[in-house]
Amino acid sequence: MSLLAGLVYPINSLPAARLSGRGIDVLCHDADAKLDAVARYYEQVDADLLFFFSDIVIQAEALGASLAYSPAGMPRVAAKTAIPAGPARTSARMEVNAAVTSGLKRAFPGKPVAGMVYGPFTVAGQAMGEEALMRACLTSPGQARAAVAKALEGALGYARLLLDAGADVLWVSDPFAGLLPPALFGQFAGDPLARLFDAHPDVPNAVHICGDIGQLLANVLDTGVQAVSFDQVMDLLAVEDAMPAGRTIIGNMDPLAVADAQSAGALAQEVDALVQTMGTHPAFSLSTGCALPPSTPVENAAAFVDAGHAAMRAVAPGASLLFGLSASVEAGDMESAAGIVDVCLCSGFDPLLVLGGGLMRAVRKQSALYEARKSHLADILLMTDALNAGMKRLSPHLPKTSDAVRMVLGTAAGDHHAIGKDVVGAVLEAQGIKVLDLGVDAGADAFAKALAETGAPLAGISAFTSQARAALRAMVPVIREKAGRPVGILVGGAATSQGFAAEIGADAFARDAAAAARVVKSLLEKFPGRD
Amino acid sequence: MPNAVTAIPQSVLRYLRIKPGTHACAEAQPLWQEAQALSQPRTWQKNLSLDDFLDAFAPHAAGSVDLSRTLAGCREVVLMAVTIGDALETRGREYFSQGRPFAGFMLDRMGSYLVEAEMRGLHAAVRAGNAASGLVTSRRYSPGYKDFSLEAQAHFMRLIAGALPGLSLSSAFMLTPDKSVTAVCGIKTPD
Repeated sequence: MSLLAGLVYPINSLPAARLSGRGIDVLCHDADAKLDAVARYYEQVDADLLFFFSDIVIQAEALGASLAYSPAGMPRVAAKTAIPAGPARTSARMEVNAAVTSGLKRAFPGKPVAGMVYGPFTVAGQAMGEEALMRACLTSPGQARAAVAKALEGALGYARLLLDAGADVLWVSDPFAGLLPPALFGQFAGDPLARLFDAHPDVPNAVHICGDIGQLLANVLDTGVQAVSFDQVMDLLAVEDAMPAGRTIIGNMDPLAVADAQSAGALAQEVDALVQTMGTHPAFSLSTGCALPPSTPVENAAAFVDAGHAAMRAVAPGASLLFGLSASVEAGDMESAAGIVDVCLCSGFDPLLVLGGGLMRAVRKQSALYEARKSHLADILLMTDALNAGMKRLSPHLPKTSDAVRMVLGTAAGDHHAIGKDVVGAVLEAQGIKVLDLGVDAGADAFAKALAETGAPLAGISAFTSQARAALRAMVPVIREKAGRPVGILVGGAATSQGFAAEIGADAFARDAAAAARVVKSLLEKFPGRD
Repeated sequence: MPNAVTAIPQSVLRYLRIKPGTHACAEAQPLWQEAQALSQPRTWQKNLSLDDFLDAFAPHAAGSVDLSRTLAGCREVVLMAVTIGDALETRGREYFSQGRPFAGFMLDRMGSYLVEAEMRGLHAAVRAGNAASGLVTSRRYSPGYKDFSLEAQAHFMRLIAGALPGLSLSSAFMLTPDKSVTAVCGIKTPD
């Protein structure tokens, strides 16, 4: 396994500032003060990869940008600079970070330390101004390349300094590069990153680029990077298949969810959900989707790491089987799905883990791929077949849950098209959402009666003909009136649209069964009903 | 020796929105064989003069601007009806009840393709026959499209008069079995 896989850690160590009696401005310049703060932080936060409290403008300063420091905030560029022509230098502040790196290695033997360097494109943008750099990429590419080359020179020197001080991992953060289109990424960001990694071929490396890098992922992987740290906005399931075997996926807990967590229990639930989704992947590390802000309570950072370790330990023993189960369900392999469920149960796996980490993982992944337009209705239905096959084996072992109907489903009055409704019902039932199917030609009274009898919070109505569309217009207000309580109404079918749904007062529209499953889940949050 | 399994035609794959060579395509293959085996196509056609057609389909035919455009210049109208029976849709519902929505959905889509293919074939035969007599056949037009009311299906049922056993009409003027379709086309002399 790569050094970078199977770990749990937040990115950077900015909350360490809370443990120092000194301001951030002092920490930036005083190696002893910084080491003291960061060491105290890691005594409480049992992270598997350590960071030396890095600020994003350190390399821009070395290029000549003037910074503004303050006790309470991270340093920022106060005055931009033209990129200097002379050789790039390492700065006194870089020496501080090198010293802290060595200190961390001594204080926490056996734990790897990240040598955190900023990507040349980001550094050039910090120094000369991001807008100026982006314009130069388009209008004066030679100037932009020269600026990035100078920033690369500085980054190479800084990386060498940190690695010589004992850093075990070359961690490159290049947030500004995420703004480049794929056509420009290579020459302005990708090639410099590749040169950084190539300069230290035996050192494990990772890159973090903020934001949605779905369109850039192939370009990022072309740099030869071994691990990619993903921002919290990314759905890791949607990019998993694009990551070649052996390259690590790092991510991607929302840092604000950690910073703002009100209890360790609530945080652990969120961590469990992420680890159940990604923890079975053979090359995954749990981390934050970006750096924790300096204001994060240290106990929250500690709780995140502790919960992460517990969750990763819980999935580790069966990880490859669960991953295989998820893959079988995604692929629509009914026989394999049923067989692996049997093996898991015989091996004493917790049935809820088999459900969440195996079967439902596949559902989440197909949903993520569908959102990214990488899978289609046929794939969702094949997955549903395999999900049903797996659930048939698993359900007798699951704790009894409520049989409450969550949605009353039918085709609108006057319409006899059943197939759309049947598919939606099948997908929802497979995903544990109990449905009462009223069949075709179902009028407002039938819906109202069923809602009253079942207490279901949602109604789903499909319409495929123009007559049914007209009937639906009249049905929605009648259903609401007769329900006598808030109900969520979802419409779908060829005769409907997003605009039509809004016009007739429905709560949501779904263009097909795959979309319906997602929409229903979010509607159930709005209209939870009773259990 | 078992019969050779024929691949799903490209036109069917496009209709099903399945790419060739994918897992979905492989899973759809046996379903296509099944759909073809379950499909029991029967057709019906009848020629009427334009005036008799307008009388028989009053008020729906005359009330449709689009149909009038289709039949402009025609002196005769051909009524066509096709059904592939109910075995395929019954099997589709069974698949759904067995927790196999892919099979159920695909069988349904294949049924729609097959009935449409039968109607295309019937229309083509009508066209070829008329062409042999030096006549031109218009495109076909079905009740329920644009302003040609679905209620016109009732006139079809009256004229079919049991020639297609098992075919019936719901109170919403929809044909059962589901995989049934009606259409009209016009015949005229070339300009």
